[in-house]
Amino acid sequence: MTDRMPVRLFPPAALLTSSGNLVRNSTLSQRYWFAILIMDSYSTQYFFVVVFLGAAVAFPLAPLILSRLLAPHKPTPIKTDTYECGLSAKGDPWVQFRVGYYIYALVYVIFAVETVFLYPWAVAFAGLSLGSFIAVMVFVLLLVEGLVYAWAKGALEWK
Amino acid sequence: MIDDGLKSELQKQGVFVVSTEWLYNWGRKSSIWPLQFGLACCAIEMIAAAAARYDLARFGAEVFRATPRQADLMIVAGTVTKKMAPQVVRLFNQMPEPKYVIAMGACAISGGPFKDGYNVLKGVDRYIPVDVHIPGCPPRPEALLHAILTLQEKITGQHIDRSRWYDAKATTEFPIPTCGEHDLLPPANPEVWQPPKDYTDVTNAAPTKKA
Repeated sequence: MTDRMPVRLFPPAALLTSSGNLVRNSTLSQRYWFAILIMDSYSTQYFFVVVFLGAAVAFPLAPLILSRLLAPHKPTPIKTDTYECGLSAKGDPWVQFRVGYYIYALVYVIFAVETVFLYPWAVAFAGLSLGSFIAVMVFVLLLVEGLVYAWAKGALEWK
Repeated sequence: MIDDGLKSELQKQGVFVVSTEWLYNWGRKSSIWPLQFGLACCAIEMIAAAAARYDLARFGAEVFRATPRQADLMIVAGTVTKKMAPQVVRLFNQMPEPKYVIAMGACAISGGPFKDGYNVLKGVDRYIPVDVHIPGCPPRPEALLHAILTLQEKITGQHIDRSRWYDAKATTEFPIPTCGEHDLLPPANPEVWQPPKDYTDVTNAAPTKKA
């Protein structure tokens, strides 16, 4: 089964369909070469992908365009205001957070990564060799080293 | 325009012919998204109406939006205090048109049992145009369903060419009251509410010096 076709934008000299029939370059095949391409099974699969892509783009675009056409557009200062719970906005939304949270987030990463690796290791623990046990212990020690460093530097105290 | 005889003849064959306006209104009335917003005990009945037993979803109105930007309907469910009134009006202003208001319960309509309270707004229709009033204290979920159906009926009767929301000149913003010394300022929006002729607001009157 020949399923690979040279895809050309102009009418090809001859088309070999999936059933093995050679379509010679007649006037008919020159005019309807695209139809012959579609009829070919391999190309048909791609044709459906193209249809699907078209539908996938059209489906969300249609309501957006329709609402733009039908929706009454009447902006007023209150309507376009920032906040939405009935009160007018006060102050700057770009609030600054304490840098202390950042250090806590960093220390949290130690435990997060450890959990992700240790859970599957603990599940398969009974079937593992001594070598893999030592490998994980080295990994845990590396993380403990990081924790000890953070502790020694005072990162665990809230200032 | 298609005549009714042909219309019903086609309908027998399973072909439904409708006007663009009917389709437009049908789409709007079948998906009235309320603002997720409750003020007092009426809100509990509103929640019950949206939950499984009464199932507001049957009428397409179960999608309670947490932002006025996406809401079509404001259900004023509960006592509107004078502290809250500016926020209610502001939220109504932030809703996109076309928008509707249901005043749910005695408090939202008139202040209800708290009408004599110094801090209670005597009806939300003093500041925003109310489409449907539901009496009750609190109204049962069925009453809210009835209000939604009444609103659907109102929407079905509206016309695109005479609509307020495509009219560029129509008022879109209702003035937000501010808290004054004795009452909200202004005490009502004269565009939407006029006091009855024999009306004297004793509880709201500014204290006068005794002679």
